[in-house]
Amino acid sequence: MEIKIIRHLLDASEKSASEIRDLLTKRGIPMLNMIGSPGCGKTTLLEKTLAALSGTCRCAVIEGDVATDRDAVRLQKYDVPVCLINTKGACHLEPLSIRKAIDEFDLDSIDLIFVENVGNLVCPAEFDIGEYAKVAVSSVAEGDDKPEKYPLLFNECAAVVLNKIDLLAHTDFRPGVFRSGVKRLNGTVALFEISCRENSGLEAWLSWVAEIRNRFQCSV
Amino acid sequence: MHEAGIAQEILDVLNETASRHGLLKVSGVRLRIGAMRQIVPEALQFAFDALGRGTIAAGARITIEEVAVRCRCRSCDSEFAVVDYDFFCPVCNGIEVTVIEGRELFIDSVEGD
Repeated sequence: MEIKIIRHLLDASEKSASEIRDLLTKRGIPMLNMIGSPGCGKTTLLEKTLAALSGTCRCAVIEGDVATDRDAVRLQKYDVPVCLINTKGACHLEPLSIRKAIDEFDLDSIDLIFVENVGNLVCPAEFDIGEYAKVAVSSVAEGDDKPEKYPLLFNECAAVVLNKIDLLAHTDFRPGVFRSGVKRLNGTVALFEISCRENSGLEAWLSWVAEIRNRFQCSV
Repeated sequence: MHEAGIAQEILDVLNETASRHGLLKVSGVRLRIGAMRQIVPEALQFAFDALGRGTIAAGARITIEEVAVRCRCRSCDSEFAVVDYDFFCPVCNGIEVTVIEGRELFIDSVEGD
């Protein structure tokens, strides 16, 4: 016999993500989920961002890595709370571990949380961790076809940061192809073309982050 | 990409359903999965077979009904199917769109005796 049941799968994970989102919204703290390939410059972008926001915005970082505390150690000198999650092989962060990390923070003294997800363009895009927005980080060295090849991430994110534009002259990267690939998947996305190494293009990114933070502060 | 976890969840639901309805054997399960979930059917069946060994659902077939991605345009309210990952409105070229179908992930029905 056939039995109709209609039961959602991944319910526990999605419920936990919405609890995180509710908690952070209530506290006026936006959380940005930074997703990109290994080596695209996620940690460097965070370093530049933390340095620039120092004194005006109290940040905290949840650092996801398969192994090692290297990235977390790199961030220590910015004097912000950093919680390291070693996934021990898992390719993405899940809301249950994010919740534990958030519970370790003193939320009264935090304005903004960055999550550096595990370096991977596929799985982190599939898992809601309760973030306010996803940020896709890509780099010129990876090629201009990444939006088309990884459509879910570029469709779901609110901003795309294209790093390493100082390498344009040394590669076959076509900025127009990258931009139209992004726009086709996500017409309203904010796109920032930057070089962390040369400190260029960061102002627009930083204003976008500051604008999100202000919007949250005003709504509490 | 996370078929093993999903396969285990399906087995949990099948066990529960079987005991509630007095089934001794589950022979099939029908799922509805949105295209944006990036589930690979072969990988899901493989994980399900491996995890289901020795359970009432051993050897059960998974049938997947894939739900295509559909959006609604926030400017002109048209609904349209997303073909080839073009997420803009074919009627007014609007770029502000809401995904209304394509993220489903649920069990529709269970076949058993």
